[in-house]
Amino acid sequence: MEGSLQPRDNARSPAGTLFVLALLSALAFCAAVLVPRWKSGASNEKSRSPDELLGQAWEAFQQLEFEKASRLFQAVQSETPNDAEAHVEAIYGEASCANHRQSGRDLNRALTLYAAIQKQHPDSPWAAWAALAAVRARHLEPSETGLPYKDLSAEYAKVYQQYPDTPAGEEAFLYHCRITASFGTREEASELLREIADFLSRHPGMTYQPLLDTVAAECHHILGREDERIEAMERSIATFERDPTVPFYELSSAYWNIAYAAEFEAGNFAVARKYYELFLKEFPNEDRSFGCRQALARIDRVEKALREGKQPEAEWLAAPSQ
Amino acid sequence: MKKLLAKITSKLPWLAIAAVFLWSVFSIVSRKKSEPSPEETVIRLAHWQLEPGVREGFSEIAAEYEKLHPGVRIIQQAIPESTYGQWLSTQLMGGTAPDIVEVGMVDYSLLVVFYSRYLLPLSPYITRPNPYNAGTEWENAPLYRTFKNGMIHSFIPEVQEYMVMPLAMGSVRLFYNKTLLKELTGLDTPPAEYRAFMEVVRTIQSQKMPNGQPYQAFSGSRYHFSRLEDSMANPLSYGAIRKIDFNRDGRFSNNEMFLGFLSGKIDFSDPSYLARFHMVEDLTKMFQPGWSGLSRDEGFFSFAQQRAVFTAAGIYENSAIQSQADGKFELGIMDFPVPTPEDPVFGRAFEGRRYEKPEGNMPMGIVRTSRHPDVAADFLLFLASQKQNEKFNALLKWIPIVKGAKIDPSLEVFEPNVNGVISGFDPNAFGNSSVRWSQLYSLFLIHQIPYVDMAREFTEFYLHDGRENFRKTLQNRRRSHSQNETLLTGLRKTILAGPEESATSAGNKYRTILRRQIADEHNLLLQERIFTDPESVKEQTLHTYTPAALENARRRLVPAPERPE
Repeated sequence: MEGSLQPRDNARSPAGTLFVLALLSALAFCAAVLVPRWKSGASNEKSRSPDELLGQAWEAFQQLEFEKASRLFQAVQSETPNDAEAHVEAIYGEASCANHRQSGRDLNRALTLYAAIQKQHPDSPWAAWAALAAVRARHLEPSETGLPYKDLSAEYAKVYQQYPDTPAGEEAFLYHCRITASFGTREEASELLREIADFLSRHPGMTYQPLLDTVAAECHHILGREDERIEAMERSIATFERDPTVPFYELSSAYWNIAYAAEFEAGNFAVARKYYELFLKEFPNEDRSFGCRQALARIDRVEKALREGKQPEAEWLAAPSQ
Repeated sequence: MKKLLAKITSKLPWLAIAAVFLWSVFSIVSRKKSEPSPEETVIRLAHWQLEPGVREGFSEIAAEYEKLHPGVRIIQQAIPESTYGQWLSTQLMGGTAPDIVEVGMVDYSLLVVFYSRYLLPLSPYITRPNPYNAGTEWENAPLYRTFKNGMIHSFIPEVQEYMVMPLAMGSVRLFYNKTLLKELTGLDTPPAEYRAFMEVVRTIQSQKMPNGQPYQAFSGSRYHFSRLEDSMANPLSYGAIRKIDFNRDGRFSNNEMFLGFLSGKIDFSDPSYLARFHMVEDLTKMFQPGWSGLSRDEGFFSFAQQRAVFTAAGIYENSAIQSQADGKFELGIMDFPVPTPEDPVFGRAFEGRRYEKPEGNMPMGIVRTSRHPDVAADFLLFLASQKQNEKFNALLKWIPIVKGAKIDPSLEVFEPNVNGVISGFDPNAFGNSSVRWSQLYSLFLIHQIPYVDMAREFTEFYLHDGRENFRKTLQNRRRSHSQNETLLTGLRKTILAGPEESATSAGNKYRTILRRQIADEHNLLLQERIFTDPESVKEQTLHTYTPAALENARRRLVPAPERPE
């Protein structure tokens, strides 16, 4: 009994020996299997060209695997000369990871990298995107006190002025227009119409002309020019081409908006009818098709009342069965 | 004899062990035998549809496909609905998911992550013809055109890809016990008009079963009530939309309802809301006491046991209900009754039946870890071909989603109604407002609180607490803009460096997202005005002719065609 109570530091039990052996085996296994894999992974990254790495980094970014994407963007930066386009793109990619990751977002890091691109590579196409991304990041930053829209609008305008002939500059102009039109006074609406006309003369056939026509329509509405508004709205859909790979890239809302504006605000029933009917023809299963049918019946009633010299009242006009 | 019995008894444990051993050997051998051989291409498919007919439907179409493609084996796994979401999540994250999965049963935010990380886009297939439609009218049509809903609900805006392929369509209807109806009311079919229908309900409830208990008109539970509420009461609120459609898009949102309350443009005294709640009161009065505490199955018992004449159910419950009725009573199916425009209470508010979105049921997706994604996609195309989709749905007793696939005449009543109205009432907006609404509405449903009190208490809460919650909601909307921004950043690379075809498609997607960003920015700015410029929100005229518009319309009047003499 006494012996069993003695310390056992020199005499390891068979179970203990087995445990140690198992532990050592596990370590050996790790060394034999995992280290070469990790090494080969690292050497794989090294053996791949920067272009391939960039492709993989963007793929990881699109799959929201920001950790992996960021690592790959950094790998590209370390393997390319500072002035190489791939290098700048990789900085932009790394900044995008810091900006867009849902957990552990590092906005300061992103803004620093965006600023570095603009400062160190002002001629790179990524400089314009970096400038836009910096303003977008400030715009989308959660704010308890409300956003400084006037300042943001000015910042977007500045990006456009700095990079007027780039897609990023054009996009910045769209945001500038959007904010200004939503807050615009009559003077601002007039000024914005001039800016849009100037922009479109500089960028004829611009991809986003429909969007600008929509904003221009709002400006005309602010100025009380309903006929010009309807013309601008119709222009905004004139060049539309459907792409079946993007089903929501369609015109149901545009038709509805034109018809609504033409009916209630411009009093142009011919245009209103045309677009309610187009809606029904092209989107018969849509949830607003019932509203289109009601609207067509309502327009008939209003026209009848006007012909009879009556003053239709808004309240009963909206109701369908009276 | 006694000795022998004792001997056997003493050996009983050994015999039991031996029997279990033999049984397990048999099970393993038979399971091994049914396992696919290494040469076979195995496609595993998982779904949560345990309703009768679905597993048989998949098996039959799989057998047909295997006949056409020797060497391919389709194995289905039916997972109960209650655990499907958890099961799917662990399988996808663990990289062990089957090749094809029914996508759903998890929160939408999580689904978006699944779409991005674990599922393969089906977009490459949607513009090509379905090879299994050869010889039909859809032989050369792109896949999306062969679907009744144009596959629009398969497109996930957050990832800008088509991610799932639906296999069927459905809707909710009223099932009734034809035999019992005839016996209690003398009618073969129930009236389709609301007042006459409610009269039938009263006749049914006035009669007693042999045990002295009164018959029930409806099988009652919260689940069944919500079906009636959606189909009968909610459409009455449609008229409210014209008063609160702040962005004038012809649609309703719970944000607009809140803005309507906050700006004083609408409240619970609105005729369309009064009509809606009046009907809710009518409907809840015909349920048996204690209905709101019953589960779906408990509620359904009364119908299965022929104590209730009506039950509201979806097409996916059709087979199960048919089998319950089989040999016991004749089953009828009808659309929900509606009031006439002359109805003294509901006539003014009733503008049409409810709109039913032609969404697809059983959305199937392909997982990224599939070893044979092309074969999996091919099998889905097979299921979505006109011939097979017709056959599949005939077995399920559901509605085919592929155009031209014949529908069983008995199921025509389930065809979704696409010419109808949407609901204009949804107080489940944000934060605690939803909780408060749920508490008060639950009391209203069991007649513990009158409408006026419920309306007053909720309005106070909605306008007070809801205000700050709404501000937070608008801030959160900016987060979705951030997610779109992530998509845009990724697409830029494809536009700049991708192959021409994918660059064009990416360009269109880019423009779509950008348009959405800009349109939603406009909506946000409009809605934020309730805090920055509340008067301007109150002054807005919605769905109303401006005096200038009426004057213009008068000026533009084309002279009426002259009558011939």
